Amino acid sequence: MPPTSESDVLIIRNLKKKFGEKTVLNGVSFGVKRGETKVIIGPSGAGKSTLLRCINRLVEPDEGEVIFDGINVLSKDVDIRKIRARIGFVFQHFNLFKHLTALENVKIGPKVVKGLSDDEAEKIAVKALKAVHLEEDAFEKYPAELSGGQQQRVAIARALAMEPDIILFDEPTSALDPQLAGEVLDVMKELAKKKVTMLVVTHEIGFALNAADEVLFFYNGRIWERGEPRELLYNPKREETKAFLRRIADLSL
Amino acid sequence: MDYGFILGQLAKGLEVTLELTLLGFLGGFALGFLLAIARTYSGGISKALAVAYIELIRGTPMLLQLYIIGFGLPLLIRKYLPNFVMNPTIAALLGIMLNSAAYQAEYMRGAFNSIESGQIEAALSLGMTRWEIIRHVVFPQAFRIMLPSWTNEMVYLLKYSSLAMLLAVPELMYMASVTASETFLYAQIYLIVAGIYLVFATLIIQLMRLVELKIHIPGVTTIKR
Repeated sequence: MPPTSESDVLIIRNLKKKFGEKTVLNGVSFGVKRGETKVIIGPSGAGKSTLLRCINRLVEPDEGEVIFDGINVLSKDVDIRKIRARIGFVFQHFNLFKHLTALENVKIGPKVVKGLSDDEAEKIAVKALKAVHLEEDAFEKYPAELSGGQQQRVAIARALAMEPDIILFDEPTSALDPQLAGEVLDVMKELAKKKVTMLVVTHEIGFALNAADEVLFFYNGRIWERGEPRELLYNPKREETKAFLRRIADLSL
Repeated sequence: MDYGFILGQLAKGLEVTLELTLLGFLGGFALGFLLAIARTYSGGISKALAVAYIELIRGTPMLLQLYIIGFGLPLLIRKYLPNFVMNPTIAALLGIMLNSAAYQAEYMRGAFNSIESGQIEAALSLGMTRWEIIRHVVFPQAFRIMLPSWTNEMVYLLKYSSLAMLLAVPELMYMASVTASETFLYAQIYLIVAGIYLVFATLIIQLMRLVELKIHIPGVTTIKR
């Protein structure tokens, strides 16, 4: 068994998922502790996004267990919406609500899902937007009027405003050019320092080195190798990990 | 002949035409919304029923639908309530509502489907229910996207509510034809009526244009000035 313990806010056991004939997740097990930042790297098609989507059941896994704060997420008796409200999700393409301003995008969760009053929701939303350093003159702007970096920071604020137990990031900077990716990564590093629990799928090796407590390398639907960021990224043991890291390094030269 | 009398008769007809248009549109919206939800978001029997209804209405002439409701339905009801008399205006209004619902459902379905799945996933991830997603995420955007189709539908109803004259509903075209045959001023009266339709169609178009501009959100709708 992989090292999982009672202090883990999230435990994944032997998770499997097939799309048609293609096996996307082939028995994945790991845990995420409270306050921890865990980074998942790996080539496209390795099952990283599918894994995140299985955790809050945007995708139904075929087999295995997802235990969130002691609750079996895959059980039929579970009200999945209550679980989702406690798990933040940040998407590659931001997925902001286009008809709502930045502030309204962040307010809508506390207001509609948690049933808070407009005033309370607004207080929380302003705090969350400040935490991601959104410029005040952007609060009342619509997503189409914001830069990609601002949009992604609003999306992070939207997740934060729900005061989640963990936030899942699905390649949050892949749709951004390097400068805008930088402002998003800075926010994420700050969150890591503040001990916000995060599970991050990314190709940003720098972020993994700086902020991760552990890095998982995904390959062929499995955790192929895992370890401390420095150990795994500088001294990978397996051939596939080395080949992947070389390719990433070549790209950034 | 007295034009005051003619215009008075036409005004009465116009009132009925506007009632048929407005109430037909609103009733069609309410039923169309349910049909669109059933067709887009449900499965099984409710989806099948919605699809069957929409295709039945779209696949047959509105005039035929008005005949069935105006002449066929009362016969059926009289089997159980022998003294039942159908008010032709009510029959026409019902027919227009039922007809418009099918078209409006399709406009709404198109607009619902144009909201990217990413936004739905984001709403699901916040923990929203299906209904909360429709109400807070899908509908406010779909509403804006389908305004131009709605303008079309209103203008269409304004003009095609004239089919109700064949049920002897005293709407604009009916009043025009009755007044014309009383006064023999056919050309004059029908020209006035054409003008009235044109004025109100233009009014609807301009009004809806203002609404479009007023509720425009960049990124949801595009406005070319």
